[in-house]
Amino acid sequence: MADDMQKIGKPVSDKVSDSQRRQLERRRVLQLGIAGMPMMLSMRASAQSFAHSALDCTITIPAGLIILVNDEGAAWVTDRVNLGNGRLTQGRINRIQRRAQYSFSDGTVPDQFRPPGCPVDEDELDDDDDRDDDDDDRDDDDRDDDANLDGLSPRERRRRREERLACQYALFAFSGNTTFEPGRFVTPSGEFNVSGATGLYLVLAARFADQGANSGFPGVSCLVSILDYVNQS
Amino acid sequence: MLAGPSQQDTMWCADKACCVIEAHEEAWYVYHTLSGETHLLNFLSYEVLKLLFDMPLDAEAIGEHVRIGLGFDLEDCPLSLIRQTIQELDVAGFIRPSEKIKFSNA
Repeated sequence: MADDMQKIGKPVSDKVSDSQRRQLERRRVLQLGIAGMPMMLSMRASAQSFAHSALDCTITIPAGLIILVNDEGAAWVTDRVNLGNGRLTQGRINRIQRRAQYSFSDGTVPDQFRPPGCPVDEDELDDDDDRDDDDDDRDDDDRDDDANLDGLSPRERRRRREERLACQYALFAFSGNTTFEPGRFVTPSGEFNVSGATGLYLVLAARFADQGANSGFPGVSCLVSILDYVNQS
Repeated sequence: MLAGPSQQDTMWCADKACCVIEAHEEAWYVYHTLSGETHLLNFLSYEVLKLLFDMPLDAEAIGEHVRIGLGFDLEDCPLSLIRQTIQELDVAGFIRPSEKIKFSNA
């Protein structure tokens, strides 16, 4: 779970000074650079029009948006589930999947964003009980009805359930409104080169971009604008 | 034995007259007069370019100057990232190998 929690973005405190905030932001950019993001973007525009509006657009990812990814590369996107303490439980997974506004089939999410998958010997722990507690948002990870875990203490059952879920699912969450300029992350070949939760969001949005600017996914019109520009240049 | 110049020891330089630069917050729009292309630089690539306007440097020296100038340590800004940035600036035509080449002893 620790890894999953690290993926959850945290808003920068208002108490942080502008210079500290800038340094934090720059440190994040350097981390993206280490991960392979270019440190400059070639725009192929003239001196008179160097600020190209197609590349200036921004995407705002709404606060509370959650992206759930499984080890097969399927994804579910919703802002209708309260994450509460942020722990990944079977009940929460079920709710996210049921309330997802956008679903993506197996193989959609690149390997870099997928959970590792469980070792084969843990498959015997699979339960067929996918029930969840419908529309309440209680933390329901204490359900101990898995016959395969008989004989284990409640604490040990929960630990093993959490371990199993952590290797099957990865959770990416945006705790505050996240605004960014995708044009900063596009390569001259028209691919987006960015990691983390924002990178995953772009990957999913790009799927909708194929369907046009009015396909409904938040920010897709900005992506279409950029991709059109890059493809023309 | 004197070895030839290795790629890692290349001294890089840049000509300030190459470009027209407009700063906008954390982005620097750099119009390259030779190619007619405009490039969007971030604080790191701009810092590297600015350093090379002043003097020829190799990657290690660039890294040291950048880390001191921007207040980062080696973990934040490793040499690999500096080399990657140099390569991007080179591809764009902003920088070139200097005639002052540092030779290394094999």
